[in-house]
Amino acid sequence: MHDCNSVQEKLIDLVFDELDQVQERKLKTEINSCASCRDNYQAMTRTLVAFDQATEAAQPDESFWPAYDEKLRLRLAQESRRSLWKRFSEFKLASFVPLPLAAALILGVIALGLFWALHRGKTAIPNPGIYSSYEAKKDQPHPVPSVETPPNQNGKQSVVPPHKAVNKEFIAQTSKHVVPKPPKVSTDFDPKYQVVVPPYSGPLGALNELVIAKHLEKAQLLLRSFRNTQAAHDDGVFDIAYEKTQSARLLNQNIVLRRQAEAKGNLPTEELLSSLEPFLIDIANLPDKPAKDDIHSIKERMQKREIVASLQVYSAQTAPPY
Amino acid sequence: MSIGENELIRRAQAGDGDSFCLLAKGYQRRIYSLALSYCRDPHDAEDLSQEVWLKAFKAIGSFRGESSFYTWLRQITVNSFLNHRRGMTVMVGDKSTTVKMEELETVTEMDSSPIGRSINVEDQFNNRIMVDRVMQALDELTPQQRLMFLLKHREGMTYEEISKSFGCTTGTVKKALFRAVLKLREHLGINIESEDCSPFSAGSI
Repeated sequence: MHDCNSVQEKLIDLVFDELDQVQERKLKTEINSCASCRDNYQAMTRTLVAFDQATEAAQPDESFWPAYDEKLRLRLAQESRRSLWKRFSEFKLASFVPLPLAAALILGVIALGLFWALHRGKTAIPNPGIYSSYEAKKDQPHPVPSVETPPNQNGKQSVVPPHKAVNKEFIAQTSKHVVPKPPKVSTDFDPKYQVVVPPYSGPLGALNELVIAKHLEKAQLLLRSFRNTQAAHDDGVFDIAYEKTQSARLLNQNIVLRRQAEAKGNLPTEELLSSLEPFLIDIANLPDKPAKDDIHSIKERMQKREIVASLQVYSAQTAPPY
Repeated sequence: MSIGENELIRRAQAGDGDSFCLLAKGYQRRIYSLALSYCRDPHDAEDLSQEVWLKAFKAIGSFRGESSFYTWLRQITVNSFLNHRRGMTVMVGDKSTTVKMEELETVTEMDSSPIGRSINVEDQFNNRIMVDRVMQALDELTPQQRLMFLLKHREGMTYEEISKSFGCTTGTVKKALFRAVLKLREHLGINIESEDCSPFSAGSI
């Protein structure tokens, strides 16, 4: 006896070609004996045909593919360069040279690093944007105070003339470490955009790659969102409040991370963060109701510089293979 | 003289990017097409499909030739698609904001995009409506259901292969396929069936 429900269950197997020949023939005979089942079967096959037509219509034309190829080629080249850099950074010296020589080399590198850090500690010019409070202090004439010594045995307190006075603060700073203390982030920015980054660990400290990866992921998301921005109404008004807020937030972090990457000598990361920064600045500085041209000019530059692709390459690099 | 696929794979494994590009050329339309149906957005599809190639390039050293290159590539594709986060919600201060993604809405927009092959405006318009409806139908499926449907219908994988790929039962795959076809029928307006005839409940995976 014909059971519509039983046939319905098998219809999906039939349209997706999961039945053997005998089962298929039997089912088709049964379908043909029931108008409702036949209609359902035909509707299903028609649906799949319509889906195929829609998919075909959505395919890009031939002019799309050369640019796609070129983009892929560029990304692979970027990927190769990055892999090379990673291999270089993971290069294990000790496995190739005798241990004493490796130790001597490492000591030499540390000594050079210390020398460089000492030199840098005296001459480094902090980033004016971030370290403005530090710079403001630096630019002030350094006072050389008279130092009052503690009372001596006779109960007299002597005053040491300025040229003989020892600046204890200076000694404390130079004897403790060769790198200046991390300056505080300028409060010129809105406090709600306060950046949460790991403590500054100096030029010899390890760079927190996880923080960078997260930052770049957020930036990628932001740029994608911006790229897809469309006028909300017919009057051509763009709603970019979220993008502006997020850009301002990410800009602060980007500056700090870029400086850290620079100090660490991590050139690829520094380069990527540097190329990202102008976009964050431009988006953050857009007016509340930006003109269509402003939005388009940024989008065009994003396209030209392939910034989203670069961020994607970085993410792919830091992610597990698949 | 054309170089065989095995030779291209060997060269790509040795780090030759050009050989990998040649290898990719043979499959890139297929991967892009899958990505487009999966993302429903041309820009995202381009990004996602290129991400697949980057991952494949990084992992090609691990390809041992135990399956065909495309089978291996398809598994990377499935993993990449499922890891792809689209339209995700991010927190801005205390409030959550959905990152907006481009929607396939206007006909005029199509003129400037690479989409569309139709000759006249009317065909273009009709195609656009059909594409839009299909995309809306796909949008109502979970990413897993959508991908299962694409792997079955576009890639011709068996229930068994799909269930292995996703680590689920063949029953789950069948449910997903039924739901996908049902949604497509609804959106395309093809002879909507009555409720009592539905053999599967439309439960999520």
